[in-house]
Formats: sequence, structure tokens, C-alpha cells
Amino acid sequence: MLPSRPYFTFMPSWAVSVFYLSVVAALIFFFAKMFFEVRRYGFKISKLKNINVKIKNLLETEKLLLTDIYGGVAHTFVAIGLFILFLGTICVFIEYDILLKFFNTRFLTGVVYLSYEVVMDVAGLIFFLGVLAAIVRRAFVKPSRLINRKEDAVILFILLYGGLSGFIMEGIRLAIKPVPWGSASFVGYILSQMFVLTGLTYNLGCGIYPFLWLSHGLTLSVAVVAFAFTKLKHFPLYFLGVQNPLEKWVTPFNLPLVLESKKIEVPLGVNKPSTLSWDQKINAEACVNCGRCEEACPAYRAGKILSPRNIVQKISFTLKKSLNKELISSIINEDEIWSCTTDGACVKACPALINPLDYIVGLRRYQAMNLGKVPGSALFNILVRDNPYGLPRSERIGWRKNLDIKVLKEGEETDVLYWVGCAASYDARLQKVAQTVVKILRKAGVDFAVLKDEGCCGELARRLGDEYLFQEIMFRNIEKLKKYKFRILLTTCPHGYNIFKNDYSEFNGKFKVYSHIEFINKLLEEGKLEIKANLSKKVTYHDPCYLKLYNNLTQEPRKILMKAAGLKFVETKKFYCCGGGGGGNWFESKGEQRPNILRFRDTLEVNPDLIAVACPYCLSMFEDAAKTEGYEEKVEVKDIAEIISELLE
Amino acid sequence: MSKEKFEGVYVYIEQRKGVIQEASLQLLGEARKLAEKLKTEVSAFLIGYQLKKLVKEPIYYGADKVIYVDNKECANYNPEIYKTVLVQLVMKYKPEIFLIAGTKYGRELAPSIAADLETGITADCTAFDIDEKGNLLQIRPPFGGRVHAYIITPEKRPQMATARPNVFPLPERNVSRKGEIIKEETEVSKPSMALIKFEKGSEAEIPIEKAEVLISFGRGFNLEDAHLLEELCDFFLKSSISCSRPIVDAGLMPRSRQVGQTGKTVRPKLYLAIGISGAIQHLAGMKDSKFIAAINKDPNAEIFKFCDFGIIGDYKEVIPLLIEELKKKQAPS
Amino acid sequence: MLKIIVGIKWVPDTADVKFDPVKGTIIREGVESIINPPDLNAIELALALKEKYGGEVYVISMSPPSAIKGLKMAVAMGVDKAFLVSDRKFAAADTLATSYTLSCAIKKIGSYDLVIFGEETIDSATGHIGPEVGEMLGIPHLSYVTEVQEVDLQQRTIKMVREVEDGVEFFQANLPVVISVGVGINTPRYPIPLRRLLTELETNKYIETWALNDIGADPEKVGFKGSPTRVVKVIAAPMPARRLEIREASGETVKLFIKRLKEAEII
Repeated sequence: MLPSRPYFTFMPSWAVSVFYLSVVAALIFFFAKMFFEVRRYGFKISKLKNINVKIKNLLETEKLLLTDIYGGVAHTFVAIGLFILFLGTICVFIEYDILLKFFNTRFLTGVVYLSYEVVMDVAGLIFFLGVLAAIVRRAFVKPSRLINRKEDAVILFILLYGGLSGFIMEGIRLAIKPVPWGSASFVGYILSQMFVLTGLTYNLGCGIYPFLWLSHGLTLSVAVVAFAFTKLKHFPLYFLGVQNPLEKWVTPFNLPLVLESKKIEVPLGVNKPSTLSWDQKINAEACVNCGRCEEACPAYRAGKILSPRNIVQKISFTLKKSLNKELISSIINEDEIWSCTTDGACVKACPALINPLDYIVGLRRYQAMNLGKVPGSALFNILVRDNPYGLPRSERIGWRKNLDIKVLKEGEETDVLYWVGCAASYDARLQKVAQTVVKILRKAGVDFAVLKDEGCCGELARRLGDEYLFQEIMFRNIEKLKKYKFRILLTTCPHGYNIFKNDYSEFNGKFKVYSHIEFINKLLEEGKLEIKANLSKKVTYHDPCYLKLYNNLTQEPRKILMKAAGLKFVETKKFYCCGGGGGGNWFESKGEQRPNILRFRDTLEVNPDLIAVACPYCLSMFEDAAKTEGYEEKVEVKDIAEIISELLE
Repeated sequence: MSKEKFEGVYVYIEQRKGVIQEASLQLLGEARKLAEKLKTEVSAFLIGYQLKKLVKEPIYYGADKVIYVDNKECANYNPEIYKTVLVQLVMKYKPEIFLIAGTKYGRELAPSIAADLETGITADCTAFDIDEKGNLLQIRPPFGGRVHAYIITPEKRPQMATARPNVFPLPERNVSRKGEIIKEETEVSKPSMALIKFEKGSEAEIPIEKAEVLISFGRGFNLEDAHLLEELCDFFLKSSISCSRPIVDAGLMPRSRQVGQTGKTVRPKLYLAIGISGAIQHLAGMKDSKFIAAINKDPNAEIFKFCDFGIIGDYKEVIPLLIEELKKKQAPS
Repeated sequence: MLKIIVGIKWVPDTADVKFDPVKGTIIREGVESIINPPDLNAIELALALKEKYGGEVYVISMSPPSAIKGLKMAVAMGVDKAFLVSDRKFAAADTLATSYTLSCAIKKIGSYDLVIFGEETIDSATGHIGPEVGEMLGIPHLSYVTEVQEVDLQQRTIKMVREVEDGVEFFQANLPVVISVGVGINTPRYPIPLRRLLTELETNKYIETWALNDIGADPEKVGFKGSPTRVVKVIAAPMPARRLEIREASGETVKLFIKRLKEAEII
């Protein structure tokens, strides 16, 4: 006899009907729920873009999950197992309900069927192990970022029962009605042998089987519904929530358009769920509360009130109830949004491609733009004196007194235009970095110049949510920069680097922007600079968020440090923001600890003599931490430019 | 009124609760010099209640004449009443020059008198002279003291000015000097504004942004020497202790005492930075202080590039010296 | 309902003003102007009182047309309406002529309960305007006010606190009054970006410009003509912004330090 898949063995016909009905009902529930939900969030099929990218990203996402081995493996096992079991069910549906019924033919026979059984048992086993691992993890291991809710227990029970009942069913079937090829379903086969040994009778088996079968079938239906009603919906929603930056703003804001049309649409930014873009809403719904973002968050780590997970969860929760509920104060505390350092670690950490930062900046925008609520005096200072320190405009050139640097005149040309930035212009310590960069550029024979009227780049305004001030500054700067001829825009501040490179370009301000680290590396590689001495100190490097997380610029600084220090360069084990971004350098948000101190302690784990940084904020934050922690004399903090400059002689 | 009818140099002698303010006595010396150049007399206006003990004082310090109003309504300073009284006196005595010490009361009173009389007034003069036409040259430092402006009031009389306290030296008190003392009665109507309470400046802790003198310390200061700060603080009215960020971060002081970008912005009259290196974040919070002084061991400390007076040395030596000197200053009064 | 008028000045940022010692002139070229800092505190106080008692806040400024930028910022902070009092005939006014012009503009606005000025400006630092305007309006004036404790709209009285050298004074006055406030009595609010933008788009809705005729001022009493004082000359002051007198520690240094403190009126 040719091996083939048996259908509805021992099953009364009413049970089969119940099963079919339940599946149809479940599918109706699933699609109706998904349909109404995404329609409520403003999703339209026409907005479905980049689906191929999304599918490709699935693998990347699973890879990201695996950074947490335990949870990652569990998730991958469950997901892959479930996926294969799902495909298997589809095969059965095709064979039984289509091919057999309408064409009286089948394909799950012979070798194909035996392979099918093996694959299904393997998948089932993987799935079952994954579920078991997840249960153990939630019940006993309890990683701190996991919050157990009823929903989690229910889902795990459904999955566990689905897997378990499937295997037991198979075992019973093979025990009471053995087939020669039974061992292909190896898990079921082993179970059947056990049942035989425990003395399972034919009658008993026949009696239990239909109920087991029906409960297994109903579990499938329940699972289908769960994919629309519980956090399992992260899977279908993953494909819908396309990240499309152009649609980020419900009421878009483009200063020249506003000034021209003399019309402003309000509100600006996010106050109610309705003011979120459709994909922000869908993304919030896709959050499974895994807490990876929270784990990566420097503010949360320092005991501040902010957790990106909570932001997304609260939005998701509110979203379900009402689209018109004010988010700030009753649901999200103002301190939460102002504790964010906008480092973007949460964005990178999210396997579901949710961007918590986007909500936070959106909420900040509403507070800033409509209510004028921004903490600290930095923005007022920028408004009045074009720098966040509030120092006189005339003191901006203080750093280059006696340096005789070419100051670009209108229409004049230079190869490299050096944008110094407020920090390196005004702060006495950071001025030294700018002066060192000048020294290096001269050493390498670079044709460079500075602007006579450099000002604020607008980065802080954008991160704090004053989009008007940002765009005002940006369009002014773009106009200014276009008056001069230069090839490269060189920055020492990663915040300026990023805003020029990624934000200005959103508004047609396209420049060839270089970070000083990138540029120094280029000069070294081209042989225009030569390292003549070796660094005798043990050095570690702290990545600035705006190079590492925003621009993936991580190799260049390491190449430089390897050249300079060789084996004396050691990597710090963890990565977190220094706490200086997103306004952190300009006002103090409440919290148990300061992010810069924690970050400084991270670097101390490798016992460095020298901490290399590449950002003025990081430099200030680390020096500050070194002072507070009493390491002023023991550990030096220097910009990479300063380290290199000493080795060129 | 032709300006020729106005004659003499007049000084408003300010008394508070029976104590003549030194700043107005300082002006008598300057008035004397001007009067000599103009070959005229120096007179003093004095207002208050139960002034008997005080009326001769202006004479001792160089006035030729004292015109005083002794009225119960004038017991406490009230800008409305004092202005009314002084305007009546000016109308009667027609001074050519009328000087008022630039205390808080004086700086408030002088312009309202000038506005009433529709004459010119110059604020916060640091020097006076007489020009070739016999006008009062009023020299003052606008633009944060970057320039000196020479101002005259060519047509209107009296020529009015307030003078910055402690710029002119106090004339010697000479009890043998004689002069005329005139008691004036003036009409005082019920004011629409009244002083209802006065609280003498207390020594209780003042929030740092309200303090006029801030003794501020940073990482270069050991808190075991905190008593030095407190002792120093006691010499100044409305003084308080503040610190830089690392001190707060280390949990040694509450955040409310932190000066700087992430702390509070302060504008005291005196900011004394002890063991503070002067990071820009710190400077940003105190850059508008009127007088910045620093004590630091490190001659290269940034604070020395942004202060009015810097002392390079160990605070443990400097502060006791300072306390000793301040004690000496206090002793006579 | 409290009707408050705040007088502000659009001043060159004195920190950037340099002096040309050869020509003997102040170099204002390229120097940006700002709202006189204590005037921001005056605006903040007015807005806080409006929040507490209801009412309206108006801002006036006697300045050249470029001051409109400052008025826009005031409106953005929450001021209901701003008036730019601007006329060539107002040029070169001293404090008396300025106060006269401002008092005419205030009378033109009509009813008001409270007029607030910044204590003094960073460029001329006279502190005259508040007292002079009070006098010209015929209402009481109080300088150095740090707090408005209470306004009684029924009795039409106001309770104020102010700081003088030796203590704190509490005054009660009948409305209306003129007060002057210093920097640091409060933290001025951030101009609301949306409002800043609205002011930009509909400037005329928020800002009105008044010339000499509009405020019914006597041409003889305004500007240069109406100014009893004349500036004869301006010379560079010998002292830099910070004196930078740095000495090694010694008994002499400490004595010198005390001397400097005395000169600066600190002791």
C-alpha cells in the first residue's frame, strides 16, 4: 500500500463540521478585525509599499532577535515551526479540500508524504521546544525587561496546547492503528510506542481521539483569531507598517510653503493618537512589549522616568480606546519625553521596526510648537544669540583668534569648508579640538576655510521639537552655504554632521558632509598624514550616537585608533549614549543617576588610560564624569583628533 | 522761567530710619568742588521725621545750608510723598544743580522729580565738571561701562543727575563747620501708594538667584572647610552659598544651589568663585554677575580669563586673610 | 480683567558692541538687536498676571521700525497686541522725551491698570523711564518690584514687594500704577513657535504702528527737540568688560581686593 495522509480517522462527521465552521468563523474574525483596525488607523492598500523589503528584512529581524540568545532562539523556533506547520496545513487544505474534492487526485503520497511527515514532525518539535523555552523563560528565568501579562500566558497556553495535542493525537493514531511507515512521524511514533507500552486500548484510543482532534482543530481557529486580537498581531502588522518618513507628519510642516501660502495647519506635532501618522499607529499596535528598546535606553538605565517601551505601549493602549485622548500629562508624563537623549538606540533595538524616538520627538514637537513648552534656556539663547550658550555672537570667533585662518568671502572658493559648530567655537575646552583640527588640516596641506558668519546649525531645535526655529535656521544656512564654493563640508560635531547630512538633505540642502574622523582617516589612508609615533597609552573608544547609530560610522575611528595604538586599543564591552544628546547637555532631567557617569564606568571596565571620543558633547560629558568620579588625574578624555595630532610629529 | 534765576548746588541728603546714607554725603564733596567753580553755595535738602539729630550733619560734611522738612508723613520713604516734597523745595529754592545719590531710592526719586519739573536728568554719573559755559558736565558709563558719555543740560534748570555711590570719596566730617539751617513746611496730601511693611534683610538662607553676594565653590574646594564659606558669607547682606555642577553630581549640595547651564542663572553683585575652574557651562550661569572674583590654585584656570579680580593661591590661606580684612572694615561702624 | 501695558526697548546686544577709539564712536554695525533683557521679565510678569486674573497684555515700544522683530517676539510670548511707536521726529530722544512719547502712547491705548517696564536698559542703563512715565501719567510708580502679591480687582488695589539695599518693602497702591522690574525676578517664557509664525504671517493683526500724529504728542516735546539733555561727547572707557585683575595671593592682594569690592559698591 502506498503511504498517504489519512483524513478524519475515527472522526464523527459532526466534529468535522464543527471544525470547518470554526475555521471559517476564525478567518472572518481575523480579517474583519484586521480590516477595521487598519482602516481606523488610516491605512489604505495603496499605502502598502516596500513589501519586498519588509520580507527581506524578516531575516535581519530574526538576526537582531538572536542578540538575546535565549529569547531569540525561542522566538525563532516558534516562528519557524509555526510557519512550517502553517504551510503543512495549507498543503493538507489543498489536497483534501481542493484536489481530492474537485479533481479526485492527491499529492501527499509515497515519498512526498513521508518527507512531509518528517518535516512536519521536525517543525512541530522545534515549535514545541520553542514554546517550552518561552514558558520556562517567562515563568522561571524572568529577564528583567519582560513583563508578564495574562495575554502572554494565554498565548503560550494556546501554542503549547496546539503543539502538544497534535503530537499526542498522532501518537494515539499510530498506537491504535499502526502503519508500516509510522516511524516517519518520528515524534508521534515514539509517543505511540509509549502509549502501547502503557496499555492504551483501541476503544479508549477511539474514544479520546475525536475530542483531542477537535480541541486541536479549535486551537487552530483560536490561534488564527489570536493573530488579530493579541500581541501576535505584530506579525501581520509588521508587513503593513511601512516606514515612510515623508508621511511622518499628519500635519506636515514646511516653512517656505507655510510662508508662501500663509496657511498653517494645526496642530503641529503629536498630542492625540489621531495626530499620529497611520504607520505610527500601526507600528504602535505591533509592539509586543519585549522591552529591548528599554534595555538599550540610556535614560531608562540611569533611572529616569522614560522607557521607550512604555511610550509605545501607552500609545498603543490609548489608541485602542480612543483616537482623541490627550497623550501628554494624563497618559505620558512630560518628564518622560524630555528625558530622551535621541540617541536612537531604541530604534536600532526594535525587531518590529518600531521607532519610539519618532513618537517622542512628535510629542516634543506638539509641546514646543503649539505651547512653547521646552525645558532649559538653550533654545531661547539660540533664538536671541544664535548659540545655545547664550554667549555674545561676537565671541564666536574667539577660538580662531591668532590662528590666521582663511575666512571665506562671498564667491570665493575652497576645497574644504570647516563648520566649527557652537560647542567648539564657544567652550574653552572644546576650542582646543577645533584648533587641533586646524593644525591637522594644515599639516596635511588641505585647502580649507571657515565662514565669517557661522551660526547655530539648528540640530538642538529639531531634537527639542521647535521645527520652526530649526527650519528657519536651516534655510538661512542653506542659502548662506550656497553663496560659497566648496567641495566638502567638514564638521567636528556629529550632531552638526548628521543634521547637515540627513536632515538638511530632506529639504534640498545637499552637501558633501564629512565628519572630522572620517576626514582624518581619509587623509591617513591617502598618505597625506603619517603617524610617526605610537600611542603608549591604553585607549578605548566611545562611539557618538550620531556617528554610530545614525550614520553607521564606526570603522573609521577604529582604523585610526588601531593605527595609533595597535594592541593598546581596547573595545568597551557595552554601548550606551553619554547622555548629552537630545538636549541632555543643556538641561537636567530627573533621574536616579546621570547617564554620563554610568557610561564612564562602562569604559572603566577595560581600565583605559585614555578615553577617545569624537563628539564635543561626549567630551564634556566624559570629562564631567571623570571629575565627579574622581578620575580626573587617572584617565584622560580626548578627541581622536587631539590624539592623532600628537602622533604626527 | 529764565535759567539765570536758578542758583546754587543742591544735594539731596538721603536718610533711612534716622541714618544718613553715606552715598549722599559723598556727593557733598563733589558739590563743594562744583560750587567753588561756579562761585556759589552748597545746600542740602533733607526729608524725614524727627530729624533734629541729623540736621547739622550735612554742614559737617561741607554744606553751607540745610533745608529740611520734618513731617510725620515723611517718616518712611514713600516715592510719591518724597517726590512731592522735593518738587516743592526745588520750586522754591531754584537750584542750578541738583544732585541725588544713586541709591535705589535716589534712582527712583530723581527721574520722577525731573519729569515733574520737565527738566533733564542724567543717571549714575561717575564724574562731574563745569564746562566753559558754566553747564554741569555729567559724565556717565553707558553700554555696560564700555564708554563714557559727557552730557549737559544746556537750557533747562535745575540740571539734575544721580551719582553712582562709592565713586566719590567721603569728605571729612568737620563738626566745627557752621551753616544755616532752615525748616520748611510743605503740603503732603494722602498718597495713593503706601508702604505697609518693611522686612529687614535677614540672614536666613536666600535662594541663590536672589542673593546679591554669592560665595560659590567647585571641585577645588574641600567641604571640610565649609565653615570658611559661612564665615565669609556673614560679612555680606543677602549673601548665599552656591556651587558648580560636579559638587551637585557628587551629592554634596542640592541641585537648587547649582550655578550654570544646567543649574540656575544668577546675577549677583559679587560672584566669588572658589576652586571653580570655569567651564563654559558654569560661566553661562553667572556671566551677568556685576563683579566676578575668583580664588584658584591653578593660574591657567579658565575662570581667570573671565573675572574682574582673580587671586592665584590656596583658598585655605586666602579666605582667612579675607575674613581678617573684612573684620577690620566692619569694626569702626 | 486686568489690562496691562508693558514698555519694551529693542536694544543693540551690548555684548557685541565695540568702540572705535580713533573715531570715538560706538560700532553698532553688524550688531544684532535684542529685547532689553529685564523687559522680558516685565512681559513674563504681565503674562503671569493675565493668567491669574484674566485680561489683556499690550506691549509698546518707541523704536525705529526694525524693532518690529522684537515686538513679534513679545507677541509670540503671549502678548495680545503690540504697538510700535515710531516716527523720525522721535529720533535722538533723551529719557524725558522718550517718557513723554511713551506716556502719550499709553494714553492713546486708553484704559489700563498696570504699566510695567524693565528696570533699566542694557545700552543706557538709566532706570528713568518707569518713574518718568508714572509722573507724566499722574499715577504712582515703584521701581525694583520683585513680586506682585495680589491684585484686588474689586477694590482696585495692588500689593507689591520690592527689594532695596537693606531689606524688603511691601507696598499697597491704588490702580493704576507703573512698576519697574529687574532681570531675574522670573524666568521669561519661550516664545511659542506657532504664535511666532502667526505673527510673521499676519503682522498687522498683532502689531500696530503709531506715528507722532497718531498719539497726539506735542512735536516740541519729542525727539531731539524735546530732550533737555545733550550728549557732548563719548569716549572709550578705560576698563574692559571684565577687569581681569589677576594677582598672586598675598596680604596686599587681599587688601586690594577689598578696595575693589568697595569701589564696586559691594561693601
